[in-house]
Amino acid sequence: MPGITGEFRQIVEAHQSRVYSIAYRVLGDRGTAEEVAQDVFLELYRAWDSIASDEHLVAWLRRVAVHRATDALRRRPRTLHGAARFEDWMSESPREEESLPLASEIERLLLALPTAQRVVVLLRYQEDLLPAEIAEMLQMPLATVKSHLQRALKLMRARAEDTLKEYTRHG
Amino acid sequence: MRNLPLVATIGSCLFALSAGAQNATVPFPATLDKELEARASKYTEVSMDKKMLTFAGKFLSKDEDDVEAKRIIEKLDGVYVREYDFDQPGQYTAADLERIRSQFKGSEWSPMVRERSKTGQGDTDIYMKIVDGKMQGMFVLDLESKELDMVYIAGALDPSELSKLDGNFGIPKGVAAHTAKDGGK
Amino acid sequence: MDEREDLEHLLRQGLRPRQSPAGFTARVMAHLPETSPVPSFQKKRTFWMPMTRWAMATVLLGIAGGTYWQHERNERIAGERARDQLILALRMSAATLNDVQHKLLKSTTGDSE
Repeated sequence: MPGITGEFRQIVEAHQSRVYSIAYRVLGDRGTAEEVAQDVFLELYRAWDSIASDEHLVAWLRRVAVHRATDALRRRPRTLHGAARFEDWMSESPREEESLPLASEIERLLLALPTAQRVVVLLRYQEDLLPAEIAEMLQMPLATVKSHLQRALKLMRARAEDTLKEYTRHG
Repeated sequence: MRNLPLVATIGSCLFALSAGAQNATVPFPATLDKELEARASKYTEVSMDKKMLTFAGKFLSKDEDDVEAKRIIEKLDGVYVREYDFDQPGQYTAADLERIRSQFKGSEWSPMVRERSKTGQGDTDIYMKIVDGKMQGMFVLDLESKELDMVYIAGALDPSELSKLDGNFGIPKGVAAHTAKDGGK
Repeated sequence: MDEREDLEHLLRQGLRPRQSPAGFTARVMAHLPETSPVPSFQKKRTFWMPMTRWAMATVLLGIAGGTYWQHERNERIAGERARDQLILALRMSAATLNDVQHKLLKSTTGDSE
């Protein structure tokens, strides 16, 4: 039905960057991230009539994108995980990446985190969710979410001392 | 030798089957927890004795991490973790550290690692409990200027197995590779 | 605290959503099934009769097994909490061990230079 399709296209346009970013930053792999993002929207299409509101839609997309991306990560052979693969991709990245050096550096640091920490950091700083909201979304105790955040920031800080200095506001 | 991961070295030297003590006496000084809590801006404390480990083990799923966790806890009698973050350096004193370290001066505990910094605020201690030639526990004290972390694991443990749980594709490998790349050549 | 704020600021900046590859929307639309999603009122009409019977059976069983179910549920909730605490404890322990390993490797390679 053209009405539903037209409306759905607008939904995809409005939320594609969020869904793709979550997938890409969990997986570190552009190709798989796009596949996962597409799957999320196809699943949304099937579940369309269960979406009750705009708020519900955003929460639904976040949750499904995270789960699909982490599922895809688990299914991948271990040797393809992690910073090595991401850096391989980065060496052949298109020109648009060169205009976002900070983003790439942050993503590089993010990819070196364990999956659970990476997801929590993404939800906190990309999606701007509070720890309690993250806990509810991931069905995880609040203390665990806070511990993941703490650990992740510590790790990222330790790894980034040199590389991020040029981006900081204070010497 | 310097490229061997520490945890693998400790694991290969000391890993053994253990009869396993049923009751783990936690070697944290009784009142120190509360004192550190009062000074900390943030703290996390987790205490799981054998009963709790067994109960929790029943609810582990077939998820990769859970399967790994189940294998590890089968040999354990307790896991106790204390992490304290402070706003300022100097919130724990040499006296506090002595109270902790004095718990391990008995014959059953052997100091495996003793790393000291000039200021005393980057120190690391690892102790192993050996009874009748078998490993029955490990204690780690890890200090930073604004952080004090303690981990006590009662039972037979291969540290290299445990360290896998920090990430499903290995912060340890990343860290080791990163460090070797920077400092090893 | 300044350090932490700096890092959080950088994370927010660096993690702004990025555009999906060109043509993404078109590719999603191209993969949509030919039949539209069924509006919810139609779904309810189709499944009403069997759903009613199932619903009644469930309610009866629920009343009969209510106490047992509640007990099981409470145990499961407690167990899942315990499981979460366990994973947290193991992860914290692992992370501490890895921090120590990193520190010691760093000081070993530093010493040897």
